[in-house]
Amino acid sequence: MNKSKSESGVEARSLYLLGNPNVGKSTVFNAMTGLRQHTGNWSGKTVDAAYGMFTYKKTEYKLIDLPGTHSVNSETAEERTVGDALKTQNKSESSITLILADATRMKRGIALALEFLENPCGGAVLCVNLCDIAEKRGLKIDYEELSLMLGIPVIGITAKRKSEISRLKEMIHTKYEELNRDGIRRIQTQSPSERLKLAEKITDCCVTRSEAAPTDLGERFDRIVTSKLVGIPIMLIFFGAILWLTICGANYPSELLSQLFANIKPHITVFLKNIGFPSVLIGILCDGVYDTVTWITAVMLPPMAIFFPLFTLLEDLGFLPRIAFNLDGCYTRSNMSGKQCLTQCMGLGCNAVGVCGCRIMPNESQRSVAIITNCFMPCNGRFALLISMSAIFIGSAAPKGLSGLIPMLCVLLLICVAAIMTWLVSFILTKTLFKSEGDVFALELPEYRRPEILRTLTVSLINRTLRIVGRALLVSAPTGAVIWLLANADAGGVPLLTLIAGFFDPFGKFLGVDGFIVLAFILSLPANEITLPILVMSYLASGTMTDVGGNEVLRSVLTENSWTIATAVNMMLLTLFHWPCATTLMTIYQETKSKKILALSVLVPCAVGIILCLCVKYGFALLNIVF
Amino acid sequence: MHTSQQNSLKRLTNLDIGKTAFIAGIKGLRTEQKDYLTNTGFVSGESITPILLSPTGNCTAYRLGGCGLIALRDSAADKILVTGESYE
Repeated sequence: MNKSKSESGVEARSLYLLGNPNVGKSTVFNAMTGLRQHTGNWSGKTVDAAYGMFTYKKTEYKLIDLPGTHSVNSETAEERTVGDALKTQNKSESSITLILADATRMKRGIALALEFLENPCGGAVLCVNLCDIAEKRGLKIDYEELSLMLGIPVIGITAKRKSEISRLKEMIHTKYEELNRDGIRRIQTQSPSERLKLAEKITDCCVTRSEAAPTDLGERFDRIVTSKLVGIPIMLIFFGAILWLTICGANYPSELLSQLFANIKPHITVFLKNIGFPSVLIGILCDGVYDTVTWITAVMLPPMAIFFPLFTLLEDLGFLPRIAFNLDGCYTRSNMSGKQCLTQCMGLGCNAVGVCGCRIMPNESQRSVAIITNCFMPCNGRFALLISMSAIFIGSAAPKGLSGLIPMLCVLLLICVAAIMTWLVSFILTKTLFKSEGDVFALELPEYRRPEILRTLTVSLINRTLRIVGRALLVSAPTGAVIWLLANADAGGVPLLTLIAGFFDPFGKFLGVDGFIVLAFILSLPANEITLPILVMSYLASGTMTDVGGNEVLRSVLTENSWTIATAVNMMLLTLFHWPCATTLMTIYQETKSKKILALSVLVPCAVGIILCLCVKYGFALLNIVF
Repeated sequence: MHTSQQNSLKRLTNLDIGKTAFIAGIKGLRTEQKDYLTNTGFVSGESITPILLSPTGNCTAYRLGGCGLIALRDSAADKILVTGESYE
């Protein structure tokens, strides 16, 4: 085989990345291929088998990242792809499997290697990651001895260091030929427990601890965070703190951006007039498209840009499985695995991601239920809407000093409502349409890892920001144009927009809101971020906003359109419980290929939304009568 | 099988927090469920120590093999038999 061949016509060499959850597979993958796959610190985060290419010494390599798994033969949807991928390996050209192990948990990694070696396909290299942490704990690994005992080359690295990745690539490159030429030694073991015994023996031979295990800060933290008394309150406070930071931190940038855009707009209008644009076009562009796009950038973007990195840091820390652990009782009672908590957390970022993440659920019926209930958790876009809503309507009624606190409590309360409804609906679904027997599931609580704060902040800030701005332009621009047209075209003196909203008005009033709100939800099918802009623009039937983003102005617009506290509450409830956005719907169909589940993902949230709105509406009515 | 002074079998759910024992076997589960547990690391001979209790219910986090926490519901832990307990 020619080492330095680089032309097309020679197939890329295949490299499979195999390893237990949380050994840093994604870090290795990203480092080797230069991609930016986000790595959260909990089991099951990487669910797709991802492909990446890299070139080393003029040879092309195809790196296939297999989802984290405990073993080569397994259970959940995520783990099945590993078995499949390894089986097809046999049929394709010769390849190497990179078995990744955690230096602080060698026995598990060695056990996985042993399992692979029972049915080896292609060559293998054992790559021991997280060597820096092992060193800190006084662990020493004898790589030569290990390599001798396993019969495959072994290398120890710290994946986050670039130089080490080059070392790994070098080893793979030089060993590739040798491995494919010499074949691999099979190691037969009869059963998992035999395999474990062998792994233990090998570990005892090759891994030495040079000092006593250090006091485990992580464990002490865990004891506090999962304690009966303060565990759950701590979680709520933590989350509330993140929300509060988001709200307060977003205020100033929002104001700045609003001012900026408001100042620029007249210049654009004048410019377009001067170059001879027809006034209709100016209307569409400046009052329709520009207003909507700038609104989203000014009002929706800052909270998202703050919340998402903070939340990502929390994920990287490894905190999320502890939340799932704490709340496990609730999931048991709704006949679901605690892993649903993790999918819900993913949904807080983006519901489409949450739906994909439901692959970690242990069986198909639970997976379906998790998918159907996933959009109860407000995604980033809806978050921003809830924060705005509660700040405008409820927060402004509160004294200045507490102005960040009230929206935070509102949103926290709404998330609790969403969680409770998830448990309730999951319970109902698992008892009726998606019966599943009591199953056995284990949840891994990974070690706490210090998140790379700067790197995470910049990566997720840039990723998220770019993505939001991109989507805003793509989706809200045409929608803004459409709204302006509908507001300014009229039939018999009444704007089309008012007519259409009037059509939905009976239903809206029935729900305790109005036709404009229903219309806004319908029109924001492409992306939830645009609900509020659509709504406000529809109210101002001239189709233009006098002042983008000013809370007081918004409040007066809403009050003028007969909004009450009940209306605001119902609007927020409907924000939580309505059909998923278009991206999520497509993802649901892609993931399940089932029209039934797709239909349910639309119907169930709507049903919940309608019921809750009716409760609130009549509840308020009752209060009015009583008081 | 580990030989130890205490050969009595008890259920994992009856093992106190902080006490280490060794897994002796799994009884009362379907084959797939047993395989799942084994593949997750609950293998005969492995040391196991309950460390954390969930505040809302019947779920415990165990340290398996001296490293790593894995949480299991009591309904499943009940089917795991352990032996040879000692203080960590």
